[in-house]
Amino acid sequence: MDIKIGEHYIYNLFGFDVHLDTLLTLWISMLIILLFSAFATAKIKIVPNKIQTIFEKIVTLFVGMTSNLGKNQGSSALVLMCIFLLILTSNLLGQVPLKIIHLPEGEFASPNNDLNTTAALAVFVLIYYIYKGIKAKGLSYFKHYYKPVWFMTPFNVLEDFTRPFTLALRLFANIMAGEVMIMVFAGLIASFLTPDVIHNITVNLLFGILPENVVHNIGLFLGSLLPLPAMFFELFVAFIQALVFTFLTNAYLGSAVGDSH
Amino acid sequence: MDLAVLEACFKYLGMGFAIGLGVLGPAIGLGLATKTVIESIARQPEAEGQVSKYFYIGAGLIEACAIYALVVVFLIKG
Repeated sequence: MDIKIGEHYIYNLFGFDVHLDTLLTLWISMLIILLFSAFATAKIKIVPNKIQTIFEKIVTLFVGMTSNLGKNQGSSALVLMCIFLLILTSNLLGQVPLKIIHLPEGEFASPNNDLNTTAALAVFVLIYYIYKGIKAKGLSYFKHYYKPVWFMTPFNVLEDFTRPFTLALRLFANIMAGEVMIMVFAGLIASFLTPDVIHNITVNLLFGILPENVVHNIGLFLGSLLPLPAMFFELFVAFIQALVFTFLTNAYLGSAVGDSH
Repeated sequence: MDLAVLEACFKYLGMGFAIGLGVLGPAIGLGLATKTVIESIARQPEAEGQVSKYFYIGAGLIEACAIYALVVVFLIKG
């Protein structure tokens, strides 16, 4: 079986070379979030209807999560909520069978299946927490680089590079591994059902009561159910990874804004 | 033996060793985390919501380590 990662359909859009599959799926997930937010906040009432209740639950979750940030709580909660919703919608979009639309190269998958998307999110997080730190403490924010002792400075500087790197790579690798796992499970049956095997099953196991092509099709159908458990697991992973990304962002913001160390 | 065949041999060996040894650590870590979570829930059943919330996040972080090994496997495969 031939599994390729990092292949995308490169398309020239307004003078930029873009990964068309990533761009389109990212726009779809942005559209979903926009429509959801618009419907949820269209008719705000004191007694909320169902969709407004869900939205209020999400906002409450992030306001509670950012309670360690002091007076930066409100704005940070909104940013974290935006990141969470974008990552969650993008991850779940990977389980929608968009792969049936064929591209010359690459395939429609989750936008987070492209390292560029996750790296952009991670670099945004880096810039955001440095900005918040400078806004909260002024230039004395940079004092934390030589905080415990002076010779820790290289490690503290290195931390600013490893944080976005691990954030981006963790999200990308989890989603990519999920896609590969599903592809492997879906491809297992094709490598198993060779004409010899079908002939043997038809003659020796079923005593020829079914024609060979019917056996082949039944086998393909049963084999297509094989990736289902992996797909359910991926729904779980999609949620966990979105939550991990926001939790770590919150932790980095807390260490940049707080004066505990 | 042909040099290209030898190279392919070592490539497959490296891929197998990378994922096999790379999964060992996260497996031990995930086992320890699950053990501690079950123990603490058995001791204090009312803390299940709090404990399992942090467990899911920790499990996500631990799992990522195993997936780094998978990324290395794909890098070796090239």
